Amino acid sequence: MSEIICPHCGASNPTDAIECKKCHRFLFESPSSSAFPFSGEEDDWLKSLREDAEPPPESEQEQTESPETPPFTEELPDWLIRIRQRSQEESGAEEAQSEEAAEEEELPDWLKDVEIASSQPESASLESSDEEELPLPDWLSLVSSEEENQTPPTSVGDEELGIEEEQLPDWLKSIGQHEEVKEEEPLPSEETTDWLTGLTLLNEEEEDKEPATFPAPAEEVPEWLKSFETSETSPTTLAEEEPSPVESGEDWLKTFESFDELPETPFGVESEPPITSPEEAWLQTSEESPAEFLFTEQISSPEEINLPPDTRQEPFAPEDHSTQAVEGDWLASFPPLEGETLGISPEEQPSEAAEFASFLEEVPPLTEGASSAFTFETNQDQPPAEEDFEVSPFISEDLPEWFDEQVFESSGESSLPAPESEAGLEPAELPGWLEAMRPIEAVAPGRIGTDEDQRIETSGPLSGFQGVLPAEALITQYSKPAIYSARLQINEKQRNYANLLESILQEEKQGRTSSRAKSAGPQILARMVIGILLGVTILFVLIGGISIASPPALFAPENVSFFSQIQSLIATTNQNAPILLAVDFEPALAGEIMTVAQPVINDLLQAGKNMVVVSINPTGAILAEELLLNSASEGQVRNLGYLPGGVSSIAAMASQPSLAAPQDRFGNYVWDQDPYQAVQNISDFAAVVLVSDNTDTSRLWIEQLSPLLDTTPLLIIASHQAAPMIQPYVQNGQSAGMLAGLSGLAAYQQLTGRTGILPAGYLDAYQAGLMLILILILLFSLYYLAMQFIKKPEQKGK
Amino acid sequence: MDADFVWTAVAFILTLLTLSYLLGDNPLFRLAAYLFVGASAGYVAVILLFEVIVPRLVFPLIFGNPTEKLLAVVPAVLSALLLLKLFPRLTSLGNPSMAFLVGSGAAVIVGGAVSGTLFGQIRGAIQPFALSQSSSGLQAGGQLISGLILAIGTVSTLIYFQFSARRKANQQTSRSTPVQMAAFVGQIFIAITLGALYAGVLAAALTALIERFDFLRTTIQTFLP
Amino acid sequence: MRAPISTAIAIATGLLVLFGAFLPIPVLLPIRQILLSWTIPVAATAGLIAILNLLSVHWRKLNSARERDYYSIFLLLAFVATFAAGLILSPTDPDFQKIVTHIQFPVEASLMGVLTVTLTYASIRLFQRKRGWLAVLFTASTILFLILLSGVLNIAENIPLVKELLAALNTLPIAGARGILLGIALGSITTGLRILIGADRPYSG
Repeated sequence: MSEIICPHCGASNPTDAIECKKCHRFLFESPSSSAFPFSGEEDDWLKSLREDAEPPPESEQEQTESPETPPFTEELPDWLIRIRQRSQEESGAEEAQSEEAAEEEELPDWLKDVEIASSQPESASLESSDEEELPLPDWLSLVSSEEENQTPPTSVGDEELGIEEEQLPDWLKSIGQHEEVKEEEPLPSEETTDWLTGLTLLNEEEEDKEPATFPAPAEEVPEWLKSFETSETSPTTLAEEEPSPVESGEDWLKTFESFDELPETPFGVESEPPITSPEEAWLQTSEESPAEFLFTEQISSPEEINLPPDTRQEPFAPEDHSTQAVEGDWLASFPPLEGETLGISPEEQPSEAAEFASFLEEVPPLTEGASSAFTFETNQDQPPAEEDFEVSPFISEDLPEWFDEQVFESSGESSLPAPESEAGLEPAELPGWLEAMRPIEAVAPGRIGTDEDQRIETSGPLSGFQGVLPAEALITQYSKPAIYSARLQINEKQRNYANLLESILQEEKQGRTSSRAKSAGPQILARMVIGILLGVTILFVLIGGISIASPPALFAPENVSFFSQIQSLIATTNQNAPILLAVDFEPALAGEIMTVAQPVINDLLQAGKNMVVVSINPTGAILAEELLLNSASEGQVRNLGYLPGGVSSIAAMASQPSLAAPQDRFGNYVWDQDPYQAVQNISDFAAVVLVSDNTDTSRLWIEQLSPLLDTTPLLIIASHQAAPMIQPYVQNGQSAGMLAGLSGLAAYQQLTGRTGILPAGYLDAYQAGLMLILILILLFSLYYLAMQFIKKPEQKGK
Repeated sequence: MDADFVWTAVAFILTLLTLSYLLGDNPLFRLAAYLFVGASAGYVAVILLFEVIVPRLVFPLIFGNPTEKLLAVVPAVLSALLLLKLFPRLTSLGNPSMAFLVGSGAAVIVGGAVSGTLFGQIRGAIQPFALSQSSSGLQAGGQLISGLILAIGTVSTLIYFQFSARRKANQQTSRSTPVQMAAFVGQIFIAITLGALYAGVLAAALTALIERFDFLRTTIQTFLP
Repeated sequence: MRAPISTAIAIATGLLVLFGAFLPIPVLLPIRQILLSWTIPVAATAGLIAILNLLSVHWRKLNSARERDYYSIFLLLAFVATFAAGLILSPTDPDFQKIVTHIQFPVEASLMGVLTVTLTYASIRLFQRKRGWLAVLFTASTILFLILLSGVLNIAENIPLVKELLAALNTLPIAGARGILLGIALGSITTGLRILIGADRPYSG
């Protein structure tokens, strides 16, 4: 990258430029800036620092164009390039060692994990930036608003994470290979504490070794950087990937040794060996919930805010590893903290290592206070205490609220996998350079935003952000979607029932397996044939006047009792009570029902009986009028019409007819007139005649009426299709009698001794049609049965 | 043209159109079916409006005495809430009305099932065993046998629909042997009953068909010279 | 709890109606009667809603580009014509009632007549589709009761033994029907009680 085109004004800028020379606007605006609102923010103080420490832009440009620049320099931010250049100047001879150390070809798993860990928040952040409709918590909206006002962060998009394995230097790959082995087992917290303690000591050594790398005077250290003291002693959470075997740990430590000897390499904290933490829980949480990474990435540390955006977004750049030494140097000079929890991940450090060296020189050295903090942190079972955050020095008076908030949230960045083999390390065996480095590594995970961290923030000094640090909310928002089992939660008993029902149904299905559905053609043809046969038969009987039906000699008991009740009703001329005619049939079977009911109703009407007609069917009222049309005299019948509501209207009618249907269809009040005014209850009717073609509704009528009828007879005129289910009510006496279908009418006609009740030819056609149906069923059933028996031996023979 | 003639012609044509289904699903049959549904819906709407809602809700609220108004307020409110079911956003406001209908309906069904069917059918099942002193030995024997068959059929039918089972040692669930036998007997009675029902439906449908053919014949005879 | 108001209404209404039928408390009976009378207009409103829903469905089908159903226009036209006739003539007008007697009745009765053919065809193919003793028993029962319903044995009913036999056969379905009715009643009680205690809330959807 020889030049940078300003996205705002289009002017050409040197590669190391942070802001456009022409328009003085920041050059690095990331499309995903909304997701990383603070990552690229750069405060004025950092600009001034850069201006003080950096060589002139012209010289930097020359350096970046030198062949020593790593091949992927173009993908690096300018600040990182500057760091590298400065490191090269300071220790150019040691550069070769780092290259030797990185000889491995492939990126190790641990490093992939690191990549994943670093990419997860980025991808998640990208997603979040895309999904604008997602409800952002208050803190995030606050962050977003801040981001809009500040320098947009460098894109940490996938393209930058896409510094692929082939782009990685060998030394970094070698680190990865070693760490891949180390990831396997979690590191016991105690061991981590040990080495971390040792690392703090090594930090001090490192400070002594390279004092010149921090030329900046102490008064130049900004307030936010002073807060690093706390981060240094923050609870260093050990990641799962902490290398536990000593050997492997030694390997990667060797690699680091070479890194340590490369002061010219710029920052690249995330590319360091797996940063360990005793808090496995936080890592698990962070691994499981990319949103937490997002969370921590978005609001990392105050340093991160002021850093050039790409500082923590180039995790696998070889420069990153080389910068560890630099970081280790200046971080070693951090004063011991008071057991505070917040750590600063190295990637969040100001990118300008030399600048840091200059102003961190005066920072009090790390003392045992740091190790005590590590000891506190390494308790696996104990999450970071809220108190840690409460006393966090990051809560500076000078820091804005949003800044403080991010200090705590930035801890999530350190969710890098920690090699498990680290457990085998002993602090005393660590070289000085490594011990100087380890706090850097340890700091980073210590700042990882675990759930506990976030909870602490809510109740600690950042209590003002209590409601806007939605650790749980983010987890809930971005964590893996809950897997809901589609299986029913059933107990043993229900399973038994289900199995039994399944077995029963299976038996029912067995008979169908052999059958094959035929095409619609033969079906239509068969239906046509049957229809024609039936039509011809019926019409032949009807038109021809053929009399084939004989009157019944055997009368069903229900027919007899029905007839008896009707006769008794007709006979009681002095009884003034009306008869309730409950109409409950559809036009579909009106042909049958009306044929059967007509003679009975006529008999009652002709006997002078008053009737009240009610229907729970919309068409019932009109069909009833048709039924009564020819026989009823004026005022003899009151049609109450249709009562919607089904069973409720039946119950209402049974409970109090006058309240259920106070008016007839014409709007006239019924129950204040004689003889209807005598009816207060359903039992006050002389009889209830139910005309029904429906099995269910007839059952409901009987259920509601029969307990209240007392001595009032319930007579039923039913269709043939409903009769079998009504018959038990007749048999046990709940219904006084039933007349079902044409056969019932034939019996009634026979019982009355009259002729002409049945329409001419109806019973004959009925009998002929039934016989035709009977013959068809019988013939085809026998045919299929015979075919079944014939086919079976053939199949057996085959 | 006489109105009756028109109406009869309409009925005649509709009958033919509907019976054309015997030739398979065809546009004529569909036309008749759609016309039928539309006319039925219109008729029911008119009935509901003018025979139920207006006289039971509107008139009492407007012209009724205070008692009638008071009695009409609650169903009017419930009806108004129920109308909100038409609007998807407000559909939940209609739930109280549905709850009222469902609650009252459930209570009515429970009461009717207990007093109308449960007690009644149990009484009917044991009734044959209450022999009257007037009945002769042969009649009493026949009554007892008949009652016994009916009781066995009733109980076995109920057992057939009982899906309780125990899990055996081999983790298979099955009903006990007596229950299985009773269920087998129940299947027989159920098959007999369903056969009777099927025959009844056939008979009823045949009666309707006869009536329709008779209508066609009568209509043709009426209009033909 | 989901839909607490609706649940409370359902439970209260149900208990009042139920206790009004069984408990000898004088005040409960009129309450029950009033509650039941209220269900009638509310149910009528529900019926209107159902009709409006039907019309809206067919209106959508008519205007749907994907599933356009031109038959729906006949339905809508028939509805409009009928409704307009009802508004003009009033539902008690004899001419308006001819909609039932000359449109609904012919169509429905003809459909039932078509059902005769369909059921016959289904009976014929029963053994082709389903085998086993239950199918045989069902078919035998159907044939038997078709014979009984047809009345062809009326001639032989004068024969003493045949008479008793036919009477016994006629009572056979009662056993199964009674069992089925008891099962329905038990199921209804269970379902109703679940609604009355709020375990089932079909109204909260």
